[in-house]
Amino acid sequence: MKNFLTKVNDYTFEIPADYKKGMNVPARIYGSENIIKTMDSAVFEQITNVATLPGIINYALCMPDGHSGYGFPIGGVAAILPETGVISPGGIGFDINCGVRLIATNLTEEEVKPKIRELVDSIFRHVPSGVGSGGIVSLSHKTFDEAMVEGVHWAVKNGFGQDSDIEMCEEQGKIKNADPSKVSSKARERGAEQIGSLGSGNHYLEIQYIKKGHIFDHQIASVFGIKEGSICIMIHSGSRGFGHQIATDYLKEFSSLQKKFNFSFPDRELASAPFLSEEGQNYFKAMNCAINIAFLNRQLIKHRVTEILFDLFGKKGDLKVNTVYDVCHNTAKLENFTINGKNKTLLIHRKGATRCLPPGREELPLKYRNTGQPVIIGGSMESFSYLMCGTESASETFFSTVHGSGRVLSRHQAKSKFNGKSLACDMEKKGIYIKTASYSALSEEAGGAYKNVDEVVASAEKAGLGKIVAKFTPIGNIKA
Amino acid sequence: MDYEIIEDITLADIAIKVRGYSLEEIFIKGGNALVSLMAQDPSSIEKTEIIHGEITSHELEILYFDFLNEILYYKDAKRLILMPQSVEMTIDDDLFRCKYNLCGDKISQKYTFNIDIKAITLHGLKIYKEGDEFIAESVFDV
Repeated sequence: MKNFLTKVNDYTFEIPADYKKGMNVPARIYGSENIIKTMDSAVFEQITNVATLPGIINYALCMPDGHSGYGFPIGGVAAILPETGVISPGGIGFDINCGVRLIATNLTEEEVKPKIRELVDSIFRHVPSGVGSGGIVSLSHKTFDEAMVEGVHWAVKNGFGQDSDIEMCEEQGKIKNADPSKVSSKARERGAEQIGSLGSGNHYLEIQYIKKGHIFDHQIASVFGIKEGSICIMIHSGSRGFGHQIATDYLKEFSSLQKKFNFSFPDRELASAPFLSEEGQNYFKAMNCAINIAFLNRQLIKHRVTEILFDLFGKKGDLKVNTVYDVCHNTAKLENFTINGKNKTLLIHRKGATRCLPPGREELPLKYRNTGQPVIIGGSMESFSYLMCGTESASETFFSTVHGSGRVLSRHQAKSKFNGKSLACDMEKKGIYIKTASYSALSEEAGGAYKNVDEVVASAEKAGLGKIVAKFTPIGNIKA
Repeated sequence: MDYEIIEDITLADIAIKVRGYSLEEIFIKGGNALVSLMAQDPSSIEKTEIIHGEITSHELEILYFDFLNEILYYKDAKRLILMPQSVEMTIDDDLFRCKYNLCGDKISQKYTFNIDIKAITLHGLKIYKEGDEFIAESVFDV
């Protein structure tokens, strides 16, 4: 174990605030000793850099799936006092509101497995993915503005979904304080033709089912609408070029203003603006537009997948395709907490982390008020994925938890170690049919490039960051 | 390959280093590296489209950041896959100026892409000299 880490308990480790000049708070990293050992050393540098942000309270937090990125590590979380603190694009990421939607169906593994090639091939053909693929919709300037403000509501109004899709999203698929006038023309141009597309890299669409014995809390699973043997679908995507350009625009602007704000961070990617400054508010309002576009993106993909399922399995008269929940990974959101008995609004930056609200929170759909928030955790394409629920025990992380497995190999290392074509063949032998535009890209996403998701999720649960409800076995995957 | 992968900066993304004997050379090599990471066979990209542009900055690193971002902008906004054909750099009163020609083709099924680069980051972005060589290091968000 690294000598600068202090063990708080079996699943929490701390780096003190005197580790590095400028740290305002200690850093806390969650996970078993084995998980912490798998983290690359840049994670510890990046999370202690996060601790230097003005206005951060309690700890700079890193989830068990933490691995190095830029600015914040992936899995990094910071709670910032909005009155005195900052907003930092590097604490959110370029792919604003990259997130996951879980869809439950009443199709069974027996019904879908014989048609899995047909289903995956059809989704690959009809859901745009990869570079230059276009999107499901093409929006005019005016309708783009409406979509930036309305998110999933825009989709439902225009026939791309149902009312329950709205309810089953964080922020009901439409975050407030989105102002299209704060979005550059370049961002509009980069995003206009990409709404309703998967993207590439670690984005994917996966067909899964729940094996017998893989539901660990039947009562909560029943409320979430999933059951053994049934087919579920995960969609992992974000705000595409639109969000990437918004982050680029404001990162560059903030970088030029660091002297004015009297900021000096160890990493230029952490360039920030005071949250209440004009510049900080402009970014917040533009970022919220990207949050809504990402919600809309996943909604359009869900709608297209629903059409394909009805096309292939519509003879089943009562076919049901429902959104279980849609979670954000890369955001800064104003959220309410009770701290020392007082209500407090904090700006929670999460980069590669999931909100996990406990039971009783009014932000949750009525249906989930007694269970806590569904938390969707995508594994690698070769491993299980998980569904957890939020618990009161996650208050230390401001109700934040893991979002995936977390990498252990860089993309270059993975490419050197794995062969994409062999990987696809091996996966098919194991019962996972995969369709990809590039075998080279596939090798970068091999299961061996990621931590053991079972151990990551178990670590999260033991650290109090949610409760495991079920796990999913992949049978088909579209890797862009 | 005319670029090196830097391994110990980021697991999630890609860090690269390019070397050259002039600023023009590292800008061209940086742009080529960006496209080479995305396109499976960059040498097969036909030269049917030419874009001329000019960018300025008081900071050399930001100029490099802007230059690479131009390539990403054309990829997403105009669906063009472009590589730098020529770059001309001047410095007047501490203002760096880069005139460039990007050359390439419409993105189509003719081309296979390995990955999409989402963004150029400021993480670890630096341009420095070692002896006679200029070196640029940058991290791309994947």
